[in-house]
Amino acid sequence: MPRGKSMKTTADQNEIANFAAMSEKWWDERGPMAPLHRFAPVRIDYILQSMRRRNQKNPPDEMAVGQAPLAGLRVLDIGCGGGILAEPMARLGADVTAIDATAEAIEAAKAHLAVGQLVVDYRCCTAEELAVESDRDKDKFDLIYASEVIEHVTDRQLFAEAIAAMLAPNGTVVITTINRTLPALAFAKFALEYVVRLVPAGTHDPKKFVKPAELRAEFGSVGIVLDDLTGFVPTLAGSFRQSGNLSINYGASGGWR
Amino acid sequence: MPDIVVVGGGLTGLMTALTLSHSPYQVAHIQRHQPIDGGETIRTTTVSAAGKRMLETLGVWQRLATPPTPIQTLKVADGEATIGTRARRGKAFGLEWQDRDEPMAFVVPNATLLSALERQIQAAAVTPLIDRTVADFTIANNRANLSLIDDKGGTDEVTCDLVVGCDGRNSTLRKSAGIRQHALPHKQTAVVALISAERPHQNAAFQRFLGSGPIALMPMDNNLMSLVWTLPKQEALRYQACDVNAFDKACTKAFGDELGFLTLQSDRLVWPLQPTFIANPTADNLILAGDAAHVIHPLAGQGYNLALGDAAVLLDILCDTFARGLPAGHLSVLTDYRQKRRLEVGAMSLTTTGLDALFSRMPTGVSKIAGLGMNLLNRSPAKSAFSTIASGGTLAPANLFAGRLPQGYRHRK
Repeated sequence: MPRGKSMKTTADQNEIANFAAMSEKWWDERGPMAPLHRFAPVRIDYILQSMRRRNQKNPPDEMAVGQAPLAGLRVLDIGCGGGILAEPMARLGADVTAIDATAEAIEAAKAHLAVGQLVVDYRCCTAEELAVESDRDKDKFDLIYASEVIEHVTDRQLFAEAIAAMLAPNGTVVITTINRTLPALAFAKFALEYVVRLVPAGTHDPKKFVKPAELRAEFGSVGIVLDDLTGFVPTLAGSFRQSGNLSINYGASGGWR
Repeated sequence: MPDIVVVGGGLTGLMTALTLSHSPYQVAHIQRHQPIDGGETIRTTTVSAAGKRMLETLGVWQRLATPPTPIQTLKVADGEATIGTRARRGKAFGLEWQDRDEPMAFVVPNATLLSALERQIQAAAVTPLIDRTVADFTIANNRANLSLIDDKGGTDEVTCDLVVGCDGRNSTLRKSAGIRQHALPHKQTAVVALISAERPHQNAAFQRFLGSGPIALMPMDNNLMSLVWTLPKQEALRYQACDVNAFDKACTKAFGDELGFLTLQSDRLVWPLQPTFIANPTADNLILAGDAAHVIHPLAGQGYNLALGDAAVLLDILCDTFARGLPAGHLSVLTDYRQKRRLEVGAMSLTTTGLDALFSRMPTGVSKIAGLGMNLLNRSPAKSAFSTIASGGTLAPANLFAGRLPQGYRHRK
């Protein structure tokens, strides 16, 4: 698929450069990506819960010896970065395709695969580019997730359409992102970027933060119902937990109407 | 290549390696084989009711060569014993805890527990790395490297995601990782011995808080009792060395005549008491457990129960971590462990050190008020709460304390 100038894209070029500068530090759990590593357990829990809710994940008590819970499922990770969520999914047995618009992040992710002796199909492209490539029935995904990505996307409608084009009939979509509220602004913009400096200043543009209702409407228009919402709130121990409070960071999941 | 390496061949190291063998990760265990020495036949371990459920689930309890002695009652007194004043004898141990139908704890000789653990671990899914010691602990690429030395001077290396340090109060791993430990000054020493009592102990454990330190008697078989007598350093050494008859008299005088005359039945060991506290028992790719993470005052016999809690909680965390597809050394394992152990370890350190300080080091007036408080406690609802905590598992909810293994992961190995 040639990438002509006229190709519509959802990825913002300035932001891609921002992450590229940090790609080498992806796997340092105490480095610049520490918040993503701290966030990983609660996000994985929510993704697995969402699949269980939609009867996709193999229940642990019914698994055969040696069978992994996500064995046989095709998973797409959009905006995978260095592979912080893609690797656990692969370890759980899923057949993972992971994409990111930043070449450096994809290179960092590929390099890290050897450490855990894992297999992930990493590709440097955007969701729309992949959607055009994989417009065939056999390429559909059982799970598509985009974690902390949609707040960096310029055209969310286009993004939702791309996901819809790649979602299997019984597939699950999981989106996690930052809410557009004052507490979220305080937490993501000022606390993370300026006070504790967990992420570089300029990482987040509050104008692109998404409210749950907007997200549901945008996915609803392409036929995907996000019928479950959960909040993620920081704990004193420095990790995150699920909560009914959606005002800072939240997850939404669902599938075809 | 193991995912997890447990370091330490004592009661805690063996128990922890055995516990983690039930996780879905590959576990190796580094220890130096040491013959069970005479000291371990004198020293005893107190296991709470929850700890018993855990050891049963691990198959250790069934392997104990002699059945452990149940503690049915815990009797506590403060101040000097009142020998001869019959009128007050009934109040000699004023505070009494008795729990439901289940014994609140059990007393096991260390040697018996050690050999049960050693036999059980041979049947477990653990790779033994015997007769080696850890020379160095380094981290590269988010993984831990342990340099090992064997008894013949040969060197060896093992790489893993997580090292669990059960290498005791002078933990080499703690020092290598630069984890700071706060230790109280060593002022007290415990005299440890087996004694026999003139009257039947009726499965009661006794604690008397004296100005010089607490004296504790734990019930054992054949009306033997395990003595832990806390004294100022010099006094302890004196009582260790003195004539047997003089010791019997001094011991009976200190304890009181609740059980009649007390007679020494073994060698006397001395044990320096230096409670330690660590704010964060974790570092990258390292978790400390047991005495390496916390040494508490032995007055309540809670040291090993904390170690059991460390292992039981860590097993649950590791099973959850595996179910998320994350490696055993993930940052969340460290933060979860730290957070989930903080309450129980903190509470136990404070309680044991606090009780000792209250009665042994405070002016008499303060101790009197505290004694009054204990009498009030005897009549308050707080008492049943304390018994619940004493039987274990309350402050550390874990699957093993409820007598079950975490579900759904076992058969995955």
